[in-house]
Amino acid sequence: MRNAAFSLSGIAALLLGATVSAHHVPAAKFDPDRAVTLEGSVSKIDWLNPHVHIFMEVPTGDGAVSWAIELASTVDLRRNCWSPDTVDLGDRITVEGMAARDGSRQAWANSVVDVSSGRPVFTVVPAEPPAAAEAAPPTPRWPDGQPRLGTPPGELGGYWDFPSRSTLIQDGEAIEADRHGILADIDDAARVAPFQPWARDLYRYRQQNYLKDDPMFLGCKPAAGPRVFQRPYGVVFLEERERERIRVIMGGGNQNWRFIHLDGREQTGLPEGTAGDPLYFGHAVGEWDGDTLVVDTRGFHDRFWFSNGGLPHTPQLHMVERFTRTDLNTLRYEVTIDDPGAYTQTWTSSWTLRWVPGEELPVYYCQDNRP
Amino acid sequence: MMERLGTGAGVGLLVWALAAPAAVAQEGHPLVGIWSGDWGPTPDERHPVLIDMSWETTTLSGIINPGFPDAATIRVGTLDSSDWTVHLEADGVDGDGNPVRIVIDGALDDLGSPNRTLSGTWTRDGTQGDFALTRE
Repeated sequence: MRNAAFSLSGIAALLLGATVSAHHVPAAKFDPDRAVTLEGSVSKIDWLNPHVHIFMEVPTGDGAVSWAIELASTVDLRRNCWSPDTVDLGDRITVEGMAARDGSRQAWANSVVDVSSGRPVFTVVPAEPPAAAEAAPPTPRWPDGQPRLGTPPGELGGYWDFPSRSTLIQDGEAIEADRHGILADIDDAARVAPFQPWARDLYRYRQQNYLKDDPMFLGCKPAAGPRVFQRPYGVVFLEERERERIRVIMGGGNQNWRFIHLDGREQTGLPEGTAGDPLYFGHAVGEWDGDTLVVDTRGFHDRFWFSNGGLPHTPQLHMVERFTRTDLNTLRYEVTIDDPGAYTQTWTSSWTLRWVPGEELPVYYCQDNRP
Repeated sequence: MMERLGTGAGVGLLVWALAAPAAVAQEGHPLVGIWSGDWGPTPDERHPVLIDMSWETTTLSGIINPGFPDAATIRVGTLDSSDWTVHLEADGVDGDGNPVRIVIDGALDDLGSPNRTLSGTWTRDGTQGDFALTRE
């Protein structure tokens, strides 16, 4: 009983301490230079997004201490065929990982091994796009010949995912970044975009702090702007032709959506916004230019990061996006950024997304938000 | 300022701040937004301050104590992002209608927080003191 009380209080203390940091890039919370190896028994499994936690009791000389072990999201774990039943309470596990920067008893798991079987568990291999036939089928079209950006006729579902770039980088620059948008070499920062000095230095600050202040992670704020098309949980185009609009639904976060109006209305986005306007997504109007949907969006506020990796923007942001489904499986996305408050000139970035046939968007709600 | 505006004005500034749109995170230019705090020549003599700053293209602008008789318009505003230092110059009038020049030199801290801070030296017509502001 005493041990149980100790364990519960330890877990509560760990959770209390952990909630301040919310979802994050692992290196924002954990120090890659502080390797840790732990062996103990599983006392609790917290199967929630954005990060699953295993709590374990690690024996010490005169008792045990509680550790919180952080894993990937439920989506990533399920994609790799893991579930809350992969281990049972009381199972002994060995964890190798990196310890929390704040010195608390938390660790990010690079590996977890079930001691009794010697089997690695909760291993996550980055998702790969579905295998494609050598020659992709042609672009699906509506009866009037217009390309379909959504599900082709006869299919029950599908979405766009696997962006070929993880962050906004101006076209023509070969710069390496990881899936969170963190640059391999911080000295490349100035080439990412034609920054004003303050924007460049703020971007560098965010990069050097492992994106720890990202409001999408800290407060479940939407991933708006072009970031919509670089998140790892997909995006759906619902073409509501009878309403002359496209509803773009984002996987991840709170599964927000934005409208692209195709009814010829004027662009009404105002930099300062108006009462009742959503403004995370601005005001978007679109029209078809041949097989390309051209979308003009203004009226953003600056309460969000519009890219993975932390590029800043201001309410002066004006975005022109071009969507071209070049075949069944490929969506080419190009965005031109015009934000004189943060950048010295307009610039363009482009990448492709891959069609995932027959599936619904992965369920990933930020309401589950946990450390 | 408190002497000139009286305690009621100090309360008024607080009410103004509370009546302003709900404070929200702001992720663009780090000086944009409403800043509140105080300045004074000594630890015992403090004057409440509220600054509303904006950024458009390459111009920083703003008003110190907007809506009050001693409101001062920021004429010069620069941010040196190499060390996040700030220089502001503002012109206004005192309670008697006499011109007043305010010069502020400070540094941003806790840059990534919505409630980042700005502190440093505050000079008002030759009277020098310190100030500390928090973005609301």
